[in-house]
Amino acid sequence: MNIRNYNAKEAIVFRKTKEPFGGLSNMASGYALYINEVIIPSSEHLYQAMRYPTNPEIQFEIINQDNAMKAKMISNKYKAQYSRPDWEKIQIKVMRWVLEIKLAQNWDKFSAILKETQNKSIVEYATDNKIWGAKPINNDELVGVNALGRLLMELREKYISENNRIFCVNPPDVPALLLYNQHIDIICDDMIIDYHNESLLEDSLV
Amino acid sequence: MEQIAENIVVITKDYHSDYDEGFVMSSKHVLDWVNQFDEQDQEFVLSELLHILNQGVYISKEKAKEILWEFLNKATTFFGYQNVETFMRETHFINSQAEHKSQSILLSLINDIMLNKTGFTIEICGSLGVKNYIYLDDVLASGGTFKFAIKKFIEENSLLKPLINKELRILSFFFCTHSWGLDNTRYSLKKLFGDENYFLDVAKFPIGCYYKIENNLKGFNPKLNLVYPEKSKNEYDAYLVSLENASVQSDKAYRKATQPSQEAFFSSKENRNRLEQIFLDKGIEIISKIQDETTKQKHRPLGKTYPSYKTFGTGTLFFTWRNISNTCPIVLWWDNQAHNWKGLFPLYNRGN
Repeated sequence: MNIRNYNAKEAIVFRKTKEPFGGLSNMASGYALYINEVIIPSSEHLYQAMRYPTNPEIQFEIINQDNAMKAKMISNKYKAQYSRPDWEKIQIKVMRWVLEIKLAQNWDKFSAILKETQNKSIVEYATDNKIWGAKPINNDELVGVNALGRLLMELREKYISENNRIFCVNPPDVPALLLYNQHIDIICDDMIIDYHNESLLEDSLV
Repeated sequence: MEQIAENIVVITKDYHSDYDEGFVMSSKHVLDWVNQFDEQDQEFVLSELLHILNQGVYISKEKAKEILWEFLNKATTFFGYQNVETFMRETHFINSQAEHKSQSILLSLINDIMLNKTGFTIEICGSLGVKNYIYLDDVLASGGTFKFAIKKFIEENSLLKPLINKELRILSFFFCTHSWGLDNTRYSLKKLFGDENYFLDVAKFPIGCYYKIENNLKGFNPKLNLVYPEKSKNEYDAYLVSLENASVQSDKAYRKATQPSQEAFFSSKENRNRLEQIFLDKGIEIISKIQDETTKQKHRPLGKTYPSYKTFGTGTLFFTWRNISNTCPIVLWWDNQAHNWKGLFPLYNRGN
């Protein structure tokens, strides 16, 4: 992905989760996911866990953190030694998939925020030169790859502009997409509810 | 065998002691039960059952009182109250089940414990206004009962907003939860309340338990402290095929041979496999004797589950002095002369 320039006044720039459009951030709480029948507190938790397909213990430690920042810090602790070797090649694909699941499983709330961005550029405010955001170079301009913002715009185009409610998300084309040693297949949001509306099972002992 | 049977009785002696139906757990009853298994399996079944019972999966009435008192004290601290009495004065126990059901019985037990420990009864609950709600029950297996009760209670009392805004709190507690059912329930509640994430947040919507059955095959390193067979015989596949009305979750019928990664529940990996096969074989045999096809489809050899699940059943191994869950393997509770079987733990107040 190439570097781009953004006009700060015309773009939707998100930085902190509590600010307007903070829900666009992977760090935002309130967008929990359900993958392979495991509750994942945020999209950041899932993204970071995917770095360690052969280390379920690390995945468990990441997913058990009560907020996304802590999950990222745990991941940072291990990445030099244990991150999958192809991570840099697949990280965009993984992030695209994570965001699609975030949308599918939190449609009302997340689609509303994306809709609110209208047709404007979405930019994650960054203070570093990493690929996910863009960094201010003066009061009016931000420069960077802005991969997260671009994936969000892609998501907006594909599902929000077309009003195309997404229920199922196919796994990305990457080898060994594993959570706790189990392959992650297509994730469908509407499945579980149907099974559990059956009421013939008696739970309590009497 | 007599000695093992007596040891089992020592643990389970107060089973159904609250009822005047005449049942008394005895060595003779235990031996009569085990004699229904093939001769070469009898001693093994008893000694493995004793091994499992020794791990605290049977809750006597005295133990239940200890658990509930400990729960009240922990909840008092968790919610930042000085003592149980002040906590209770701002707390309401949700009583959503019929009078003869477990929830009412547990509330009556709480009343006795409180009277004994504090001198107050449950009558003081909510006397200073309600800030906390407690949902109490013995077992959460699929979570169906809990889910619908909580949904109804929140809707009828318009509690969703105050709960999300932390003006009110719901704390749920069970003697035993199943991890798969619990996570499904949280997610299901989220969907039922328009994708409200509150229900997935373990800090905001806490659900505690005394004993956890880890049965989510896709979870992190599940203990599988229940009966969950591995694929071993063609007859088992044939049984699954015979479940014509069941169409989902067939990938959950068997555990992988490599699960659990370490055996910490049965006395050994080999003994797990052996007991699971014995219970499954006998369960399939009992079910084959049911004449009515609808009833047959409704039951599973390893205990009830949703009829749409193409699995052998829940496989619960957890018991209380009050009753046995129908999610336990049916060899433990099935009682029908026509099927030539009498359960170790007779059922109370539930038709088959």
